[in-house]
Amino acid sequence: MKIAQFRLRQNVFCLAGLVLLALLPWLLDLCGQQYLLSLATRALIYGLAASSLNLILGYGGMVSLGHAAFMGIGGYVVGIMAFHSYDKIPVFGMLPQSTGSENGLLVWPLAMLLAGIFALITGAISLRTKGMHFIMITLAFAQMVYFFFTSLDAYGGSDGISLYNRNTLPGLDLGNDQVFYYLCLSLLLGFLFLMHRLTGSRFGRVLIGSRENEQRLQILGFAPFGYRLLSYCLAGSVAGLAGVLLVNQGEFVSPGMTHWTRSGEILVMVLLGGMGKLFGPLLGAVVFLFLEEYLAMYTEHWMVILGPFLILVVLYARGGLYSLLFDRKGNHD
Amino acid sequence: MTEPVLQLRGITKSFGGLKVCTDINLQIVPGELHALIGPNGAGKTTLLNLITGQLPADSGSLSFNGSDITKKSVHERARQGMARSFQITSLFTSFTVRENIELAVQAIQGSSYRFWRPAAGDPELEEPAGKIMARVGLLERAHIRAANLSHGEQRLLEMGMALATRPSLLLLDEPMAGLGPGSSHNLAQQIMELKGSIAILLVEHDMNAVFSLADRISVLVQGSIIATGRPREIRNNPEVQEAYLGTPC
Repeated sequence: MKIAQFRLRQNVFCLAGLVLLALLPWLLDLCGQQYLLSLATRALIYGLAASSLNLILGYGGMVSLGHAAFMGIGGYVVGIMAFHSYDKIPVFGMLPQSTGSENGLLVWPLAMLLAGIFALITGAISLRTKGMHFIMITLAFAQMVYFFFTSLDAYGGSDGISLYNRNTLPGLDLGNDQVFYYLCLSLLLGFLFLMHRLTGSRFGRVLIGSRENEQRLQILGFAPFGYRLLSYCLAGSVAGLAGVLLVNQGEFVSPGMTHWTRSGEILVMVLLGGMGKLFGPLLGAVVFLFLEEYLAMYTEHWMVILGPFLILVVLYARGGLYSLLFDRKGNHD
Repeated sequence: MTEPVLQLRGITKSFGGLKVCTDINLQIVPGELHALIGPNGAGKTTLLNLITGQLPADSGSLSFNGSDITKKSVHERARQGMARSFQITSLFTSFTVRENIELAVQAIQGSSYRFWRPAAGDPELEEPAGKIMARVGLLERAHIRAANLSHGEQRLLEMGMALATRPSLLLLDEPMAGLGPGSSHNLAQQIMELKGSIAILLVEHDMNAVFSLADRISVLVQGSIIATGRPREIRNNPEVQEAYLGTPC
């Protein structure tokens, strides 16, 4: 059977990909290319962000152009908490008990919580609109976040905050790049597994149904809003976690992280890799970042090459690179 | 007399200056098959949209199984037992036949905020869905994507999804539109089998089907119901003949 053949090929490729990711630090050591590890880590982190966008875009049909805002919120929680922990000043000049923290067990859940709350508030408003209006309103909220962080003079304004070192987690030395790489990999795989269960569940069917045919879904007795809002919040808080990881990796956070061009890049990763596919956005993130890195070595005008490449992929591989590799012709999705 | 399943009182709807429904009064009693006929543009589909809540009525009231639903949303009305098929096929096209039916089954099994257990292979969904597919004759096509079905099969799937929610009122909007004689006959058979067990409001252009299936018929012309009665009364009503057929005959 043709279908079985393609499924086998998909499983073999995915397994090979996972083994490669698992052995990558060791392989890089072997050929003396350790500097690539930070690029690979960044690809995993963007893969996490893009996967979270995939949940709402690929499965829920919500085209958000403000996903970087959640990353920024997650990142700034890390930055601000670290800043206060160095200076021992209470956060926002109040909250006397809290003098900042570099403890990941405290800061990371807090970052995810705040990003999730931001998603809840903005989602409750923007999910009342559709299509182009939804794109514009998510973009507007994200730009609000961008200008908010730019205006925080106490935290470096548009220059951002530099960290002295990464957050701490008990039992893990995050300062070690290999340990940090494996942490990112585990978090990414953990989320992908969660997403796999979620999209296959009853909840997932309703969510996909709302992408497919909202009218029919309502006539069956479902109110799509709640399903959308919940997945929007989940996507937001996971993007917040991606922001946390990104700031820890670079030991630096600035408003640039929330700029709309960043949201655009994440969106492109999802489209490039294949939206609505579990591993699509990860593939998209890896290809995007490596192309960016390598093309930039040859020319500073790397966008000139990347741009047409993206257009070709979007035009000729509707389901992204993932479908190009694993789907039969005419059977995208 | 038994309490009606659906009661419309003075329903009026305009789009800007255009009155599409004027003071509609309509009653559907339990178990009856009520047909709604009328020339193109008479407002039949609009009236269905008003009943399901996809359009809000400007004035008038609706009650369904004894409770006032005038202000209720589409999904709330559906939860109370109202199901509908669409004139233009409306399915989850990337889902298989089975998945389409299972999503409809899921709608009546309490909360769908269940995040972990796979929906595929869940016996609570599979069994009722299997029965429905057998009933509409799509069991052999269970694993085909809805997009790849023939038009006739899609109409049957529409019907199956509506039935899967175990409605007390079924609204059918031109279920036979675009069907060949074979499929059309098959669908009429399906409707015939349902007759008596649930109330059905049928909008249909196929007059043979309407007159052979319906218990009562209402005639909608330019947004008003000009007559309601048994098929024979409607056939012999001169007003209907003139308005609907254009000429007295």
